[in-house]
Parts: sequence; C-alpha cells; structure tokens
Amino acid sequence: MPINFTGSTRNQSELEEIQAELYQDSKTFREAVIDIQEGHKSGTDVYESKVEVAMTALNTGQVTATGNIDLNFSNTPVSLVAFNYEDIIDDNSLKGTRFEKSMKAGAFNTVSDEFDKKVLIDITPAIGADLENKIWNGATSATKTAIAALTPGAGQGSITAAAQTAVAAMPTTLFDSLVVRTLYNASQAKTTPGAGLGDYVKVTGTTVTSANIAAEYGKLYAGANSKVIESGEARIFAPLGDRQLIKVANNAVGAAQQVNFLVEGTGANEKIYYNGVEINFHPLGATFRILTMPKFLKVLMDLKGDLSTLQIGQVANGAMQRYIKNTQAMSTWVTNQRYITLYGG
Amino acid sequence: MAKQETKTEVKNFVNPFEVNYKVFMDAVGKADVAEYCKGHLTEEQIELLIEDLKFYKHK
Repeated sequence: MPINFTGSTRNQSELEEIQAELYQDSKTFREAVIDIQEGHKSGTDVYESKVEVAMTALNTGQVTATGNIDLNFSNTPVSLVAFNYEDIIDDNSLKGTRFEKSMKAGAFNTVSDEFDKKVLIDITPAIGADLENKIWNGATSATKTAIAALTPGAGQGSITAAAQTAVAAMPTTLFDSLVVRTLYNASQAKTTPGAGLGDYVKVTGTTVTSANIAAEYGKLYAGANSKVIESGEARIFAPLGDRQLIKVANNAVGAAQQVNFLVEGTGANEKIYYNGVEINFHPLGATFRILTMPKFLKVLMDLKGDLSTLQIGQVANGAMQRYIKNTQAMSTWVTNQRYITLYGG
Repeated sequence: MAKQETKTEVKNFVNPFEVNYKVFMDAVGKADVAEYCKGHLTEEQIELLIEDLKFYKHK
C-alpha cells in the first residue's frame, strides 16, 4: 500500500549542544599576571618614589645640606573610564525555535530557560574577550591624535614611525591599552613629567616571522635593563601569534634548527620561556612586545567581579522585553617606565 | 678606502639616532638614506632605519 503524504517535512531531531562561538580567554584577569588593582571609582592617585644617593668622603664635622640623598616622589592622578555593555532583547523572537519548549505556559511568558542557560550565558565570556583585547590593543581618539602629532625618530626618546602607524591603525577604544599607555602617558614620574612620550626603553622592531623571531627576542632581551632581568620577575608580553611562530622556529628541521625557546608542558599548562624569561601571550598588536616586571603594568578598576556581573530585568510598563546591562569602570596605567622595554616602540 | 670616500662625501653628517626624522630627512635631502649613512652607522642600524622610514609619512 503506497504512502500518500501531502504537506512539508521537518527535521525530527537536533544537535543537543548549541555550537557556540570560541571566546578569547581573558587570561589577564584569570591569571592576574599583571597588577590588577580594585577599589577605585572614578580616579586614583598613583605615587612613585625614587631615592638617589651619592657617596662622599668622610665628614667628621656637622652634617650640612649636601643634596646627596635625593628623595624623589611623584603623584599622578589617573582617571577611570566608566563604560557598559547594554541592550534590549525581545524573547518573542525565540518562538518557533527549540527554545519555545522551555517557555512557561501563558502567552505573556516568552522567556526561555534553555536560551538563558545556553546562549545568554555567553555574554560574560564575550565581554571578557572584548576586554582582554582592549587592555592590550587600542587607544582613545585623544591619544591617537596626540601620538599622531609626535615627530618620530630612530633614537631613544622618539617614537618609531612604525609604532606611530600601528597606533593609528589600532581600534579606537574608551581607554588606552597597556601598550599605548607605555608609549604615551601623562605620568609625573617621567624624566619629563606630564603628557608626552613614555619613558620606556625602545627597541626598534621589524616584521617578526618564524625565521627571525629568535633574533628579535634577542634584541628585546638585550635591550632590557639588567635590574629587571636580575629581579627574576621579568616577563615578556607578546602577541598571541608569537606562540605559533616560536614553535615553528623551534621545530625547524635540518641546519636551520635552533631551539631558542624553552617550551614546557602542553595545552593550557604550556609555558614558554626565552632565556629564562616567561612569555605571556595576549592580544597585542603584532608590532609590539613588552619585557618588564609585571607589577609595573596595571589595570585599575572598581571591582573585578564587575566583569561577570549582568543585570537582567524586565523592561518597564508592560514591555515583553528584557534589558541586559554590564557596567564597569577601568583604566590602564604603567609605573617605573624606565624599566619597561618596548619592542616596536 | 671606499668607506672613507663615502664619509668625505657626506659633510656634517646628521645622526638619525640623535635627532628626529624630520631633521634627519631634511639633512639627507634627495640623497639615498643608505648611502648617506654608510660608514657612519652599522649595517644593522641602517637596516632598522630604512625599515622604519617606510612608515614615515612626512618625507
């Protein structure tokens, strides 16, 4: 007996797991390698001190003002930028999808538990990924203008033309990334206090490939202040893509093989070192690498928990919509700039 | 010998590592940067300079 079917067919099964976006891990906050300071609302003062002493021949007489013990300290006010991620969602658009099944009975009820648990939950990692990018790569429009106005040069105390170009091409953000803070800031602790080029140690860079990455890291390492290297706390902050370049370089075969980087562990536990200095990979622009003590790189914020706090509620006056809002206050800062070596600066 | 000849060709050499690019490029004028710096800077310095000047927009 033949089957006579009239109408349209539809799928009788679905993949249980929703295939989600891959979010960049916010390692800066998860691992807290750099100095993350909480408890600041709109701004905070950053004090820096530096004591210089000079030896003189024994004086058996009365001590007079010699100027041989110089107690320097400075204070720089740093403003935090308040920002948010916010939107309105209309759950009614979920009707006709798998999420309709988890809506409570009643025509007014359009909120899907399953949607909240499987899709809406990804807002927080997406925010984390966005912040990770902005902490390492981006500049405000004001800072972009200021850096574009600098006259580049080859020597220390001048920005390279490549860095100037790279900053111009960076995403325009609400607060300066750590790289940009290193390049340009208004610290009162600099040799020339106030708004201007940072006091970083400049290492002129070039396009880094697997063929030259060891040599270029060599320049970064050699350019660093020996006190930073001797501290045992030095870290290299490098673009994410360097991990691949390093491994390709390390795994070259034949005469080209030179194992310049130490790779320990695998997967999430993998650690990579250059001359004993651990490398941390973050979404820096490909132009830059930083070698310094991590405590000199700072993220100032109100509350670290703000990262994962979502306010979700019903829109007023009978609207069948929900608002979603995440609010934060943040800024980056750099201290002891003379001990920050910036490759590509 | 050739190096000495180059040096004598460039009078009052302006070191690009001591001034900004505007002053340097004014000093170089229409000359070739590599030729201008030859004998005054190391090969590596000249290489870095030429590489970075590719990004310099006010030539």
